[in-house]
Amino acid sequence: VSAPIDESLPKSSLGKGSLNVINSVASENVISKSEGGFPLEDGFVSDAELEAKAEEVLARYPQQFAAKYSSAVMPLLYLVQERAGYISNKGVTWVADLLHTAPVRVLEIATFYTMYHRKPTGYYHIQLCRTLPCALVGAKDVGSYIKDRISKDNPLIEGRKLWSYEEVECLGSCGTAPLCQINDLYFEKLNTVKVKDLMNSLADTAHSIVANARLIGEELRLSSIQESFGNGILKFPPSQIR
Amino acid sequence: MAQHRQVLLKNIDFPDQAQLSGYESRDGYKSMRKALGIAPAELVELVKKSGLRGRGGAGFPTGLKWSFVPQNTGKPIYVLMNADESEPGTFKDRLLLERDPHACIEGLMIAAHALNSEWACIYIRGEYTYAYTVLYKAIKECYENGYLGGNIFGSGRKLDMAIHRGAGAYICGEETALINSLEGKKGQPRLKPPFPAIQGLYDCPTVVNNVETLAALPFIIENGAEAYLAIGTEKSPGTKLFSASGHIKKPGVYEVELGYPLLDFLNNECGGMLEGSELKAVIPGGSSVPILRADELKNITLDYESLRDAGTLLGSGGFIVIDHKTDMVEMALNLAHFYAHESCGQCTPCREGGHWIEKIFNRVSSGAGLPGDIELILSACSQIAGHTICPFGDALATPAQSFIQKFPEEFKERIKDLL
Repeated sequence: VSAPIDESLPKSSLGKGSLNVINSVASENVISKSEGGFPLEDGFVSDAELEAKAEEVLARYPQQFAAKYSSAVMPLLYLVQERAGYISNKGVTWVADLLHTAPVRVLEIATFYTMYHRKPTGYYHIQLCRTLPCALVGAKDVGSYIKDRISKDNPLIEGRKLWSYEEVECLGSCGTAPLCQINDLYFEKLNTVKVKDLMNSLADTAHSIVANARLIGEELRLSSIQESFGNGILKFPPSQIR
Repeated sequence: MAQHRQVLLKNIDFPDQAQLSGYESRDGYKSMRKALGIAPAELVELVKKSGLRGRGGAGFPTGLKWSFVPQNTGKPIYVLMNADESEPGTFKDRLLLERDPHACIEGLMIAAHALNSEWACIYIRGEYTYAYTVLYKAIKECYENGYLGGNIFGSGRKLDMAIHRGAGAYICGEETALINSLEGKKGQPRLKPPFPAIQGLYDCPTVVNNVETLAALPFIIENGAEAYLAIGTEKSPGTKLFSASGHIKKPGVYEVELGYPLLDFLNNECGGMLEGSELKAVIPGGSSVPILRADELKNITLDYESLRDAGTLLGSGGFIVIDHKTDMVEMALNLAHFYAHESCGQCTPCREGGHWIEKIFNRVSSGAGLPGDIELILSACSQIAGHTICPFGDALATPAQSFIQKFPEEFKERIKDLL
């Protein structure tokens, strides 16, 4: 259906060319016919590398119970999401086959847990914490700014939206509230001025750096931006997560 | 003067603490080596004697929990670290996991040894990606040095350790939901009994302990139960991490000797209220415990007994400070939304009731409240609390009830406006 992500690309210099490659996966999903709001046809493709990762994940759990329980279902779903940016029906089937279980057993996990996305997200997926400690110190204003900005200006870059936004429950960083998580990183002690600067920087760099760490496993070069926003704790970028 | 940072955070500021070399340079893994020379049953007794209680929220005695595990079933025994820290206002475990991962791992190793377990697992919430990478590296270092694997520390014992990422479900912090999630199921709590100690992960005996509980173990093994008992109060020994947030000058994680006066903590450690803010209320143990008004705080000390006597709970130590400008109706609505959203959907009172409470709070908050709405919320709460499989039902009802009970005038005013 579509080309898998080209791993031969030099990871340190992923420029516009590589965005094209990623988007060939994502854009197909967006334009395909859908059922119940979810893309039906999708570009999820497994390959030797992904199969090897899956093997490693399956080996983590006590083998004597592996036939009866699907402990690896959550990390396997993360592998799918990392590859395709969201969890497509093909991805669900791939996981079910690995676990020798019915796809619906995997689907119920993918829909129960909120961190699995059944639709493609934007390059930058903003999750704003809305719970009490953040609400006490101004999360609502930050949220209003983000929502307002995205409603007015959310360019489609090669088939994929720049931003997506959701309000989430307590992110466990109430001491540096209000905060949001963008892709894998926390951006803390926000206010409307800081979030505006942050979004400006991210929008400027969107075309030149890889926006989504989950897609590529590339070290996220947002760290310099993050440091300038005074997030002392998360100094260096997370490596590939699974 | 209470000595606070002596058990959990004493090495937290060293930049190399997260690396094995740095951790070992400050006596890291000394306790585990010592523990390997002690018989497992003796370790359980030692922890029992230390008076250590579960730091995740329930405060159940750790040694007692361990002693429920049968050693003669022929089944494997599992030990799980609960790092699914999601209680609003709580962020203490994240600090330990990110800055001192080996202390958490060493605690888990000690627990595994005490229970004769050969497989331990860390269940970490999905959002903590940075903590995950730190732990992942730390576990890898342990395997490379023979601290984990087929012959740990050359003792001939076997211990494997894995990390499992959650994916955004608050309820997975409840131990049976965590176990179900780890089995590849939806994170829905189980009916008890059987308790996990008898029938947990894969129907085998299982212990689930909070990060902070496990991180206190190296100190107890190293210094003995008496040394731990000497800290804190008679009934609440040891230290506790408090995550301070809200309208204060110095929010953050503080290690506090149990029995420390609440107001001293607020004024000294937390730096007092923000400029222009007056103290209105404090939630001392995470969003699921009853709120306290400013005038109730005077003689309270931070320990299990004093907070219980004051009509609230120590909980997870999520210390949320609220100032006089805060609209309590809106905050009650905020929490109602949290609980409605996070209900796992298993029990009807919680699944349906949570949304009804949110809807009614929303009506009151928007100024469209009807006479009788407050009573309606309270009646819904009384039919949820205690009527669900897990304590989430109580956790849902508690803030709704206590906000109304402690600040009735604000709720009544909103309804009076309409008439």
